[in-house]
Amino acid sequence: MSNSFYIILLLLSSFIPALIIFVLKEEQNYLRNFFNLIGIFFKLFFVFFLINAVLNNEEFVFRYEFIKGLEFVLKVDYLALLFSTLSSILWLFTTFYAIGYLKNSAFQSRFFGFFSLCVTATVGLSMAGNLFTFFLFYEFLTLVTIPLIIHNQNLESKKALIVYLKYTIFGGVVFLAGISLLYSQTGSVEFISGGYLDQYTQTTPLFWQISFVILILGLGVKAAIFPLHGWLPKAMAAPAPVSALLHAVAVVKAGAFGIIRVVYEVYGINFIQELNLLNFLMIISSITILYGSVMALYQTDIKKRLAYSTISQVSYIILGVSIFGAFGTIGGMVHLVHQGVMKITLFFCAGAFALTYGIKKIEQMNGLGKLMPLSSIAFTIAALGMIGLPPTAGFMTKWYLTLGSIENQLWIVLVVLALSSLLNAAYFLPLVYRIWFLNPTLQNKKMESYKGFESSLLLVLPLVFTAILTLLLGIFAFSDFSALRWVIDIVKMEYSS
Amino acid sequence: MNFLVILPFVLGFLFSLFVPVDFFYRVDWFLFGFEFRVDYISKQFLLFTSFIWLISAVYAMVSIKENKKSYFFWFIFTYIGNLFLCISFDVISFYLFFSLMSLSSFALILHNRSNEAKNAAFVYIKYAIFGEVLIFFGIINLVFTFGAFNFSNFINADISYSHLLILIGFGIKIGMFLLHSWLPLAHSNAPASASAVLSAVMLKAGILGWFRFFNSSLEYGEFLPYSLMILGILGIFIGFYGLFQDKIKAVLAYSSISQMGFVVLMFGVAIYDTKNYDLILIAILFFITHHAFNKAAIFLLANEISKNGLNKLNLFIFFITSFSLIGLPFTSGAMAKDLLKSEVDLFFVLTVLTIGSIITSILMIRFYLLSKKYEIKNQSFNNSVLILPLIFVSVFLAYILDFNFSFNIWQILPLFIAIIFFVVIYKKSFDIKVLPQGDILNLFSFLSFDRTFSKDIEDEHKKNISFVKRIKILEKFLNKESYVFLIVVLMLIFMILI
Repeated sequence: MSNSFYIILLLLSSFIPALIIFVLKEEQNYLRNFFNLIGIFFKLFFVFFLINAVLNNEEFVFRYEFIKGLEFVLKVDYLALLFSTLSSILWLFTTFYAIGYLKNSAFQSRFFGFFSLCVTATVGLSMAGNLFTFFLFYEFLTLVTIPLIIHNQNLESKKALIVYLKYTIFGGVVFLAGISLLYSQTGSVEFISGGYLDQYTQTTPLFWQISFVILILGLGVKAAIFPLHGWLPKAMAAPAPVSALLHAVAVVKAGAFGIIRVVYEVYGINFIQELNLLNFLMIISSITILYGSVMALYQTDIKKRLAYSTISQVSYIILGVSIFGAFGTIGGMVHLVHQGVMKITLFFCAGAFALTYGIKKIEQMNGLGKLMPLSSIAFTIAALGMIGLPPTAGFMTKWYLTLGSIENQLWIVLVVLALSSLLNAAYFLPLVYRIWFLNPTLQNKKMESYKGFESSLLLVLPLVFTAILTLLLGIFAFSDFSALRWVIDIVKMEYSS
Repeated sequence: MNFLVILPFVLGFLFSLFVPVDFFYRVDWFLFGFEFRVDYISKQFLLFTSFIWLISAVYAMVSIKENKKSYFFWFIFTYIGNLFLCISFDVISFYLFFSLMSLSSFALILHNRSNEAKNAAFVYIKYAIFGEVLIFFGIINLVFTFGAFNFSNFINADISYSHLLILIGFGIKIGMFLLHSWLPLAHSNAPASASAVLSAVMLKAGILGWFRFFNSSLEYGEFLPYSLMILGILGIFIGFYGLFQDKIKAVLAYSSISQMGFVVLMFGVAIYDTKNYDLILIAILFFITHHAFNKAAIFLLANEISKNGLNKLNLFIFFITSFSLIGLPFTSGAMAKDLLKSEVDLFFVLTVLTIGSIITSILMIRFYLLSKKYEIKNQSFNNSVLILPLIFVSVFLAYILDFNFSFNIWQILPLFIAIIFFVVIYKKSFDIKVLPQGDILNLFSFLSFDRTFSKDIEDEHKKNISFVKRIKILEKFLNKESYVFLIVVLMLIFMILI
């Protein structure tokens, strides 16, 4: 019992600050920030405590039976810690960023409250021990992102919200249908490394295939798989911190993370391979990768371009999952972390550009390197990481994905990866070129003065840290504390059982 | 302050001079772990690379007037890439430093910010990134096949497509035929000090890549060697296109393509029959060293000529370098070509080498005629003095291997033929037309293939509008949720029916 206590504490560390923040008045900025930071501190503390404990083979499970046969299960395993560590650390950076970004703007209590709830949902989602619990947090995440998307309260954000709701409610319903199909055969079963469905031999493979497709469709809405991606570019109407943490990391990753759970811990990779379902995943993810990249080329708005880039990059995760063998899986899972860190840097930069100089379009980016050197360097590092140049984190992902596809002799995937690298270069390098090699235009004026510094310190510091993290995750990819090492341990478990 | 900028170049040169041939250093903590090692190939590369970079840096110090800071920033970055490339002995560090060099030289080409320079830089970066991707996939397949990162492990196994990818990837840097179109653009529009290192040193970095990834213990079949030989010969011949250039640096760039054609051809011969691989490798090594010093000298000279005309010092430098490039007796070029010829006894190779010398001679005469158009000014202090060390090495290089020169008629014949060629042209008063740089690139421009990629850079109205429209319609369609859901539901029904 004492062990399950820590899981609850981990969730409460962002839930309680949210409740307190809702109660606070709009003017109580310092108090609000204080509670927020306290929450983050506890969250990080518990996460690192759990990492330590899990490394010492301690087990953490929380079970509660709603109705007979329907259990609410929270469980800490390696995969859960991968995702919850990512969201907690990025929550830290995003909170600082958001404090700087939303300074002097309205509805801050509402914003930060729901923001903390989002993180609660994400962490809960990562700890979820069976599909039903996963679904609860998945829908909870949908609900608590609504006030964040509509935060600006203009026409665009309202339209975005309607589109977002249509997609996610559809996704939720389909996902629930998929879960019920599985439940009808198995009852309530917890996630387990290597999957559990292959024990139910009396069910026909066709049934499993159909329910898999339905599950993927449900999760694919959040993971922005083509053609279910329509909400993501629209949702860019939200403020930059929301786009950064939620649309680049939490929400889309929730979908991708769900797919990982379903493939490895519900079906089991060997069973999926027997059912010939990996090709299905491979085709949809390849199409999404290319489609996202091509669409990104045609965007003139910075955030829109980043959004399409997200669509493309998240499918790298699914592509990695679909490549049978340890290499592909490592590539996919580690991209969960790597893409998050790189993309959040890019969104932070886009937000900082927009707030400092009012730059939203790509053609306004000329000469930013001279105006905002630190942010521009961070942007460049993250962009090069997206292309997959060494020694950034993106290189490691590309390395493992390519190794995986060579291992399975998937020539088409190799072509997709090559094309995607070229397209990534084609839509990121023009921005880098504009930033560093063109002269600033005259109409770029600072919105307010920052005492000689390029922008507000709270905006710049987080993105500098995440850019450094991008480099560290690449350079020290084989050290004991890297995401890659952690993922390699997970993959060993998935394939050994 | 100014001299501080030169410091890295001096240090690099000192390192190259004094580093012992069995130098070894391993960095374990970085990525997969780096391995630096100096063997006789890297020693030779280090020597000419660091020396030419040092001279070019001093020259850039004197000649670059605007944006000096940013120029040197990228110059040093490119230098770091190039120098570490020479001693990298595992694939990852090689790839890393190669990318660093390739990508930062973009800024060097762009430096003038004229429209031509921009165009050249954009063409260059497209080729460079394409090459990067190919090299990446080639490398990763090698690593997968051999299970190791070190070059010395790549022996005794079946090879597959990765060598083809690596040949093409580095071939872009070398300026192999069909992949050479960026080269005349980039080399003629970059500042003099940049084009000197681009042409003299960075082209050779591609050859170093080939040397590293290929070795005599692997079997290469027939396709690769033959296609290399054919591409090499075509490369030698495409140099003739340089006759139709009116910029002196473009003429030199085509001369580079032609000379690299020799290397491609000889490398094809080397991997065709790997018995002679090591000997031919040494011949190529000597040839590229000779070419590096002379090409660097003549590129710097081209800039001086465009400022001061052919004064006495410039004329002196011109004669020494051009004679050496053509391969007249008692020069390093003659030595290098003799060495190349002595390793092969294939008749067609010897013929092609002679034709290549004729083409080089024609280009050198063209260069001379073009540079005569510049007005001669005699300044008291002339930057050409900085080129003299290169000339000195070039002359000295001829005597480094052996003092017995065999003088024969074949060494002078090409120059005579070239002179006769020009005499005929002038007697019949042919007009030498000026054709656009980048020969086969202009064929592609009909297809407007690269338009879509440069959307941001060019003016927005010039775009292929219909394609954009189609994309927008698709996007609109996909943004209508009802359609999407309809498709999804139909897909589901379809799947269930199956």
